[in-house]
Amino acid sequence: MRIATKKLGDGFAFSEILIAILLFGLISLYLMQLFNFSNQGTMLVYYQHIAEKLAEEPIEFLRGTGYEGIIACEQNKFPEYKVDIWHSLADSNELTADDRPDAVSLFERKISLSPTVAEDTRGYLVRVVVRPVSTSSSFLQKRMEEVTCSAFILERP
Amino acid sequence: MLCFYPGKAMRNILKHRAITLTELLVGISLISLVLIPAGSLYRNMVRSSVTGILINDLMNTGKRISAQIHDDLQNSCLPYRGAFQLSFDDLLQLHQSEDAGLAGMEICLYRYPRQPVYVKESHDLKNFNIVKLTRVCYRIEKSENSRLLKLIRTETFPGQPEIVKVLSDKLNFFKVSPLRKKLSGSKEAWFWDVAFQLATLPQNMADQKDPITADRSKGILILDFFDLAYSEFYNSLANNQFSPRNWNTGLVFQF
Repeated sequence: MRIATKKLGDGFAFSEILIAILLFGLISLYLMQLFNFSNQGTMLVYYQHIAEKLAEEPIEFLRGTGYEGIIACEQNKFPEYKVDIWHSLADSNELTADDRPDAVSLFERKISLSPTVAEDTRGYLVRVVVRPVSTSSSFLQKRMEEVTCSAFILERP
Repeated sequence: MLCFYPGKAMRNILKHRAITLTELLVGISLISLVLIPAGSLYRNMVRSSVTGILINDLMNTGKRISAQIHDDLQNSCLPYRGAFQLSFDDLLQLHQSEDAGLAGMEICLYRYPRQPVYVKESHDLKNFNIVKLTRVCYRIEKSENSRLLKLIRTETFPGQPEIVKVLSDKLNFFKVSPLRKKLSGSKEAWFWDVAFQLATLPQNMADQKDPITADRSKGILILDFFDLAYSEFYNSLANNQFSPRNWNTGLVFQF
């Protein structure tokens, strides 16, 4: 039986070099994917922040308008803040259209209003959910979950 | 007994013969073949890591500024003496030079202190300052050796030294604009829309005049921040004109 042995100074075979290059390529590819994943993670933090702000915005708006504003919102009188339907934020928002970054168009939002009454106090539970739209980049679709903000807004005497 | 059969190259060395030029060139080209992609990989790794750190840094700064501005706007108010005509625009005082653009712009407001101040019964209530207000100003200044701007916040409370804080030296854009939303009847709600940008630029861009656009491959990062805020004082006063005066609306103030 012949056993392949390598003597010192015989040099490398072409196939050995090819295997080495292949291994090096595979490791490089893995490392590149790792960097890409890390970059996406960093950007995800930023998108998460944008989604949080988009979820907080209607709550802040309804707090500012007060109880009457919530009733008007429930009757869909504010086109920027539609209730009970998912609406894309790429549509122009007459309230804040000029000052929002392009990344806002990657998301859609749903506002739910649930009336609550406790003794003599009336109020609404406002729930806002923000998620990436189906046309946004695949990494956002895969790696980002819904952002939900809720608040009780009570009728003030 | 130890047997040792040296190869040709080793035999050359053992015979004190030098490496041939061809061997040297082949060795160098093989090392280059490995080192060039490895170097490129290492450079990308460092760039990616630095970009991540910069974005995190900008994110933290942006969130801190956004929270600070939100708190100031939400607690903004006016010196109030009985009945007087109140306009939303009076809450913020804007000073800006048209020639200088953003640099030199200053936005000032009065705000409630963070802790409530209680009335002492022994005082004469007629001219007693129930709450001393804090004067807050946001000032934008040019940075040294950079196209980006500095955002500076100053806080002045009566009887105390002024607190000056540089919130960021990476400001690219800053805007606070009023928004009005009509409600039922004569009622309306007023808000401020806050938008600002933080950016990082490479050193070689300090002298360029072109507008800055985000390009990560060139090391230009721009992050946008936005917020919606309202003044509790204004909304309380504007929407409940005949209600009894309370913490938000019944202030007598002398600065």
